[in-house]
Formats: sequence, C-alpha cells, structure tokens
Amino acid sequence: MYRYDEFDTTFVRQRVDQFRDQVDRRVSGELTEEQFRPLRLMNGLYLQLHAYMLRVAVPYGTLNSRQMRKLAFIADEYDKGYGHFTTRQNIQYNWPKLPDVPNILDHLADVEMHAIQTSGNCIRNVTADQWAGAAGDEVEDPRPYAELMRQWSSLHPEFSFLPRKFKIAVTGAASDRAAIAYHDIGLRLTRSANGEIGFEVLAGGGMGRTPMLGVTVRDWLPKDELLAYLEAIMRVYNLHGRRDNKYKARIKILVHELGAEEFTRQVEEEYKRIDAPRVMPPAQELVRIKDYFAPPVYEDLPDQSPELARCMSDDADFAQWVDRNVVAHKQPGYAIVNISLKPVGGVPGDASSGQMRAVADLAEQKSHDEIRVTHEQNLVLPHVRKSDLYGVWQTLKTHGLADANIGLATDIISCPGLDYCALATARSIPISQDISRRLGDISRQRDIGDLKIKISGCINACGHHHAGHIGILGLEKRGEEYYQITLGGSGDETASIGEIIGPGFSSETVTDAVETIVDTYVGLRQDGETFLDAYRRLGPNPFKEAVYATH
Amino acid sequence: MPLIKDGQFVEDSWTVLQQDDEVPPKGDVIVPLERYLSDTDELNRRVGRVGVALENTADPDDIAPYLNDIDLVALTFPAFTDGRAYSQARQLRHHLGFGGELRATGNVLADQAGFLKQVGFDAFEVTPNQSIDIWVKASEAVTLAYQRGYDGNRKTRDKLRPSPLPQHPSDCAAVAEQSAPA
Amino acid sequence: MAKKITGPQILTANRLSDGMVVFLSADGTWRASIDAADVARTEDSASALEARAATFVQTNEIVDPYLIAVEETDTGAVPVAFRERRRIAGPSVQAAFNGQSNGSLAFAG
Repeated sequence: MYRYDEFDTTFVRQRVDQFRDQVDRRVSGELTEEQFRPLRLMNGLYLQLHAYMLRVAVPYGTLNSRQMRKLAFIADEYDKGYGHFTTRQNIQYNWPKLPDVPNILDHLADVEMHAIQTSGNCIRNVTADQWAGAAGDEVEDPRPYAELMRQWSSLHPEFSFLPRKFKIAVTGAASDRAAIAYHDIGLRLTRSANGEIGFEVLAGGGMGRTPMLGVTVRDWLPKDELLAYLEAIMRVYNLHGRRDNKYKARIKILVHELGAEEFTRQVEEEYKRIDAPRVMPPAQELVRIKDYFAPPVYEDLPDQSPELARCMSDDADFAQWVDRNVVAHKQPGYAIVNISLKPVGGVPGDASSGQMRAVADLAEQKSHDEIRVTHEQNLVLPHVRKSDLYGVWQTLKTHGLADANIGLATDIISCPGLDYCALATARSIPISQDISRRLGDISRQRDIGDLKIKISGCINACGHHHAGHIGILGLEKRGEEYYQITLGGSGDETASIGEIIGPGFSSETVTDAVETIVDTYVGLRQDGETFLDAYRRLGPNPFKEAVYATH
Repeated sequence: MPLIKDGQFVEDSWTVLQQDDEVPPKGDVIVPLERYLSDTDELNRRVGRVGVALENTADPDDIAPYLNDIDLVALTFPAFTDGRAYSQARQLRHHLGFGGELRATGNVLADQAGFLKQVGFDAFEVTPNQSIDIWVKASEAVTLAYQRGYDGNRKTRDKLRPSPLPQHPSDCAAVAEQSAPA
Repeated sequence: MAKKITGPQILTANRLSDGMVVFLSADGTWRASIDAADVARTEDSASALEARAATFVQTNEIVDPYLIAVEETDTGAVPVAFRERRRIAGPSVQAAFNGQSNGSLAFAG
C-alpha cells in the first residue's frame, strides 16, 4: 500500500501544526465559534449531540497493522475504548476533547494518517472497492487512482469552499461494490472498444433528501486526463451549484436542474480550456504511486487447500463462515476474508480497541499486513492463504468477530442516529439491534439469503437507506420517533432508489413490519430468487398488503 | 478596509465607486461590472487606472474583451465559506491570462490566505482588526501543495525534488517471508 | 426586547473544551446535570438567561447556547422536545460497552 514520502509527511505535519494553531486561537478567543466551525470541520472535527466527534480518514479504506494499532491506541488514550467504522470507509471517535485533538492528529501523522477533509464542504475521503487488488473481476486496481485523487483533493486551493460536501468513489470492477452511482462523481475503470483502459465518469448521484443516480458524463476518459476532467466538473459545480438552500446544494441538483446534457456541455466547454498535461502529475509520479500497490509477494500455491476442505467438513460453524464471509481471490490458494462488525444485537460498525488490535495482528501475520474498511461498515483481510483460514477464524471467534453474516439480514448498515448525531431526528442503532435480534438466528438468516437492510436516523441518509433492499428512515413527529420503510433500493451495478411503501411505523412496530416483509418474500420467492430479484419481479404491492394488513 | 499586498499593509490608492457614483476626474477607481460595461470608453479614457468589481455570480468572460484596459479586478466573498471567487480568479488568471491586480474583498480571513494566493489573488482587503503577523503566519502554515499548475509560493512535489522510486522488497515482502511455511 | 416563550425555559449549551452538554444554573455556573438548571418562567427572565449565556460565549467557555422549553415535574425540569430529552439522556446504546455481554461484544477496554 501507499507509503508517505518526505513530501507527504511534511504536508501532513504542517496541516497538524496549522490546526493546532487554529485550536489555540479558538481557545484563546481569537477565533469565534462561527470562524472556527468551518476550520474544524475541514479537519473532521464535529460538535455532536453530547461531545465532539473526530472523523479520521482511511483513504479508500486501506489500513496496515501499524495504523490499526494506532487507531486502537487513540481509542484507549483519548476516547472510551472503541471506534466506529463508517460508510465512507473512515473511523470516527465519539468522545475526544478539543485540546487533545491536535495531539491525536500528531499520533495519526506518525502512522501516515490524517483527518483532512473528512467533513466540510470540500472533497471528502475518496472511497473505492474494498476488494481492490484482490478481486478477480477487476479491469485494473483502482487504488493508485484513488491515492492520486486523495493527494489532488487535499487542501485544494480552489475547491475547499464548495456549495456542499463532495464525494468521489472509484471501482475497477464490473461488480460495483463502491456504489458509484450514488456519488457526486463515480468512476469506473473500463476498457474502450479498442481495449484501452480508461474511466467511465458519472456525476450527479447522491442520497440525502432527494436521492438521485449519477448520469454518465463521459463514456470513456483517458486515464492521464483524470484530474483535469475532475477539475472541469468541480469548477462548473463550484461556480454554479446552488448556495441558497443547503438541501439543494449538492451537485445532483445542479445536474438535475440543468439536465444531464447541458451539464455535460458546460463541463466539456470548461474542460477544453484546461491545460490537461499541466494538471496531471508527470507519468513517473503515477509510476511511483502504482509501485506501492504492486501485488504482495504471493506464494505459489495450489488453488485447493486440503486443510481447508477438512476443516470445513469437520466444523459446520466454520463452513458457514467460509460460505458467507470468504470470497474468491485472484491468486490461486488465497482468499479474501470479510470480518463482520455486525454481531447480533451489536452496534453496526463499532469495534473495541481489543478487536482492532486482534485484526491488526491477524493482518500482520496472515494478510500481507493489509486491512480494508468497507462502506458496509465491516473489515476485510484481503490476502489470506486458504490453509490459514481456520486459524484466522478461530482467532476472530475469540474476539467476537466471527459472525458469519456478511450480506445477510443482520449485516445492517446504520448511521449513528440520535444516539450521537446532532442532525439526527430519530435513533437508528437501537432499531438495527432490534431487527438484528429478531432475524438473528443463523439458519433463518441463511434461508432468507442476500438482504441489505440500511437505516438512517435522518433525511441526510448517512445510513444509505435509499440503497437498501429494505431501507429505513427515522423521523420524529410530536415527540415520537417513527420509521418510514422503502423497498427495492440497491447500490450495486444495477443501482436503484428504494420506494416508500406507505405510512411510517413506531419504534415498537417497525421490526414487526420488517419481519413481515421478509416473511412475505420467503413465501413468494421462486427458486434461488433473492429478495431484490423477487421485489423487482413482484413490485411493492404484495409487501404493502402484508404489512398494512397486519400492522 | 486595510489592504495587504506582499505580506504587509499598504496604502490603498483605489476609490471604490457604486453604480451611480460620480466618477472623479482623476485617480484610480474600481467600478461595478455594469457601470464599466455601460461607460467603457469614458472610463478607459480618463486619467487614472480603472478596476472592475465582479459579483461572485458574474462570468469572467464578460470582461474578457477589455482585460487589456483593466488594471484591477476585485472579486468578493460575501461569506468566507462561499468559494465561487476562487474559481473566478482561476479563470481570470489561467483562461483569460489577466495579469493585473486581483483583489479579494468581503469576508477575507487569514486562514484562507494560502488558497487565495494559489488561485491568483495578490491583494487582500481584510477586516480592520487583522494583525499582519497572524496573516503572514497563516498564509505560510502550509508550504506544499499537491495541485500542479496553481500559483502562489507553495511547492508542488515535482518542484520540490523528484521522489526516488520505492525500494523493493517492501514491507509486504518481509511479512510474506515471516509467514512462509517453515 | 422580551423573548417570546411558550412555557418555562432553561438554557443549555455545549462546553467548548469537551463539547459536553451543560445547563446554566441559578448560581451562574454551568453544570452537566439539568437538576440545578435555572428555570425562566417569564419572557424577561428568559432574555436574562440568554444575556448571561452570551457573556460565557465571550469568555470562550461555552458554544451554541440556546433556550429549551421544559415541563416542570415533581422530579424536576424535563425538556419538551424529544431531541433534547435524547441529548440529555446520552447514547441509549452505551450499555453495550459497559458489561452487557452477549458473547459477541467482547470488549476488552
């Protein structure tokens, strides 16, 4: 993975010092809260419901063991012993104190990490396919480009005070695990008709109050024009994105109001005036970055592992875990291990410092020192020998990390909701815990099959409910929380926006409603049909009828 | 408003005129875009330099034909979080090649100084109680920039010095060695 | 100018140093507990609370002060708004880290 050189190190240290000075000036009163707020937000520091919250960037979700141990250290030293992995592949701490934050940032800089632009109306942490570099279905590893964009977007002089936050995702695979259609800019590495690799560029996707899927503004862009083209999109947005209404300020509204064609025309017009070769770093720089992402030195192994086969037949729990949590690696004899942070009844995405250290140790010993954070709030060990899987599983089990539920009903995405977030209108974590307990029986989960339940505690949709097969949105009316259900959303390559099925449910009845929906699917599905497929075939009516007949 | 150029307070020779103000016979004046477009010849002919103030919704292309006659363009930040003028500045400097003074007005904070210079501003109207030390310190807090092709004195990686390619075997190889079967 | 209020009010803010929720008490200090919060029952006293809070903004002790409507009960003031009740209660999921062991939350901290 990428390693800082002197330039990166100096840059991040300077940013820490700059922020330390800003904190000092705030504490001394030289800066008012109004002046300080945007400055702290640009360094990931929020003032939440009960305390400050610091969001640390995990660029495109990639960590090494040293970094993970440092995250554990920060959790113990400056927080309450845990952290929360987010849908932007980041981690956030819920209880830091303002004067400690510059020290935390110094610790992060020690392991080549930062909190730059994890908040604010700027370009946020660039996300990528969590299996990048390991999955068999990719055209090219997207991480070097994600790193290039991380660098390019860091303290961008022109695009740090945008109308609203800006999210970029990139994938190199045909199966979209990065939800690119739901991003302000989505990038897919793809081959042109003559076989050359470039980017398909989407713009104008997003969730929030007005969910929209991105539109393709360029079918194919040469790779060496990436940054210049992004600059053109950003400039059109910075100049013309709405600033009169926070809820209409995202690029999706600009694309929608101008129309895809006119928006594209303006971008192309601007692009013509940009001197592309001057924006993109010299070729040797991309070579330098790419070199860091060279595949690890794999052993030459047979693809089948007799140990694995034996352990799977001896231990049914292990076999179930392999079935759900382990996926194919492009290298024979290796596998990708997905670690669930969704224990039944637990807080989605939370990990204790002990769990972080356990994962760090495993990564160091068994996964070429690599860890990934997924946008579904889980972790990944991307390069594990098949013969090591049983040992890895046993270790995970002792740390409460061996739930075999990846992609199942209890693998729920949930935002922090009104348990932590100042913007939330309702709690989301307790609902996810309730549903998780209700559907938690593993045989039942396995019978239900692939199902993505996603919960947001307000209209901002940080819990991605629009992209949930079952989406839940928490709202408040007259002092009571209530929950609106959407069905049929998806964030993958067949992206769709969930549709509201009808009136909302109370916190007491929403789990019953979800269970009824799931049972309705089980009753109506045809052979091998997933929930999403069944919904797309049947439409909302059978689900509506079942839910509103009984509730 | 106090004016900062080259890291120090300087005397401001420019008079800012509103749309209907009378134009003094001589001296440097900054007029709103509409005024400049309606009285172009008169303004260009008079003794003294002319500057144009653009709202942050204006298209810099509107003054493109006149840039040879304009000595100063003032762009504005109604709130320091409203970043449109960064892009206008960039377009003026790089698309239109404007070489005169580019002045930042409105809500201009020390913490923006670095960015403002990078997009091409070289004069800054700041609030009366601004200290020059804080301004200079804030504008020099970060000396490096990842973005190529911008202005200011932040150094980009290729200008600093070419980085050596990483040496193999990397950490990864060392780990592979450790976990190799005995 | 008198503050328009609907029912009794207390004044809350977040402490600058750690962001903790605090309430302005009758003795002029900021407390983490709502129990000692000074209750304003008239528009003038609500305005007075705001004015007092503003001085603490000036001295950089607290941020974002605002009035919240409360109901006065036998056990003390209770915020009317749901959000404020949640804000005072703290995360309802925190119990998960404090000894609740369901076998899967193996928290070492």
